[in-house]
Amino acid sequence: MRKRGRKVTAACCAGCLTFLAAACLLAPVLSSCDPNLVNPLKKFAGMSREHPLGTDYLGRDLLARLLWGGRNTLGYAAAVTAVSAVIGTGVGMISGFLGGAADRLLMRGSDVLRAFPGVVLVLIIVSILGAGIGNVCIALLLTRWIWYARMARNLTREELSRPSILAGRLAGSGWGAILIHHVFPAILPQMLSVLSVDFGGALLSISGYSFLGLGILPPEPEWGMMISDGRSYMDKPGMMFWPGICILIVVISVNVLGDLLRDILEEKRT
Amino acid sequence: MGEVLLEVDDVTRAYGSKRRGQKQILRGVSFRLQEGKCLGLVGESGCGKSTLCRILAGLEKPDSGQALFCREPVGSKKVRGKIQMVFQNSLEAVNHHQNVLQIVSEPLKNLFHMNREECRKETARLLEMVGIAPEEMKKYPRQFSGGQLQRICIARALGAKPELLLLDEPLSSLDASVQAQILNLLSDLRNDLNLTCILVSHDIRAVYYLSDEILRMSEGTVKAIPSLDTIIRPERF
Repeated sequence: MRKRGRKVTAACCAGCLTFLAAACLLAPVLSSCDPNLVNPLKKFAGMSREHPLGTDYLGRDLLARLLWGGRNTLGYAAAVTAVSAVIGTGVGMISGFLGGAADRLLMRGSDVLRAFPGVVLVLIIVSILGAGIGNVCIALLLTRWIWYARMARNLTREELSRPSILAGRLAGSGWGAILIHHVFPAILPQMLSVLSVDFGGALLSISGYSFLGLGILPPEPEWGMMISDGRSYMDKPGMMFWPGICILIVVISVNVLGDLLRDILEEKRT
Repeated sequence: MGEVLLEVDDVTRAYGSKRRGQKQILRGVSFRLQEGKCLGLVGESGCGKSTLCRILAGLEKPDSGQALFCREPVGSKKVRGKIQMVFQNSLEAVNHHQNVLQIVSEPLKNLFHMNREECRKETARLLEMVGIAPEEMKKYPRQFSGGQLQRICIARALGAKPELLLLDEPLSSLDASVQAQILNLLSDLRNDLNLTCILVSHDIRAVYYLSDEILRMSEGTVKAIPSLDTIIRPERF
């Protein structure tokens, strides 16, 4: 019964995510409107065939902005998550494998970076380099890879003492092969779980910084910035509702899917 | 009388740091093992049997003393692959993300640089040798019982064509009937391949059955148990 419930939840979350991602990818097909085309004559237009979700305060098509904005939000969040996961996992695995002074040096370095509150570090970097999604992504990368590195390092240390790894060493596998063929598949379930939570976090950060005007710059659409635009027009809830609900769906779905994926991979392992 | 294959001289090993306190596991262990012989190693839990095995396999370095295999230090490149180990918990000793073919062919690829077809043939031969049907080589570890997995681990160890096989409590995670099967398999393999082995076990009957000589470990040192010639061994376990 519990398994069935899990399957239904997973299917719902995967369906929602696939639907949103596909819709954003197919933005040019699904919406013929230019997301940045200003038309003051049509501002705050209601739902119609021409504008299925209506228009915003500048007469821009909300559906087009939602879909093109989703490409930005999801794309940058995925890129930040993927790059920080690759860097962090690589550094963590090497640190865990090397042990000794190299491990201490790498981990203390990550402690120093971790000691700064992420938001403060991002604000410092953005204030030095200037606002813009590129700089926000760099700042996010600097703060996010550490979590992967610490997790990968601890898991690697644990894995290296397992008999299967010792048997691999006796079978003549080099350290590269041990790390890639034995350690990496073993730590992958936990790393995927971290990755899914982090993807949600990265998406919220990118939307949050765009909401504050530090991320994607106007007129490019982005979900966080769309919410920020709608803040001044509380009587037109559609401007905030659609991007808000999209963020909520994506964050919940990736978290639930991440947990389920970890459980499935762990079950498969044992 | 066979040649001395393994010489262990005054090996010591301690765990922990000097600042926080060390626990001395091995205190000057010395013995010799002749080619073709089986040495049984018995002793209570925590006396250092598994640590000694890992040192002999070259997986750990001793704090002092040395272990020489054919007059070469264990763990050196010249000894690579010649010493293999079968671990206590077969479930933990295999990579669950690899199928049997990948597990057993690991030493074949690394040590003998066999191609895919050669690996497949040799894996089938090794599996047959340990009593696993070659058709099962595409299966994953979770599809096997503990006894079958231990056979697969033995097949992987044999794939490296070892001259010394370290059996670190290979029976302890198995039930009684499977223990007997594995013990008989080890006995047959020993006779067929003229393997030199060290059997670590709590089961004194198993040690008597398979070993030519026995060492008792206690508080990090070894003591020989007098001649086994007086013991009447059963034909089959």
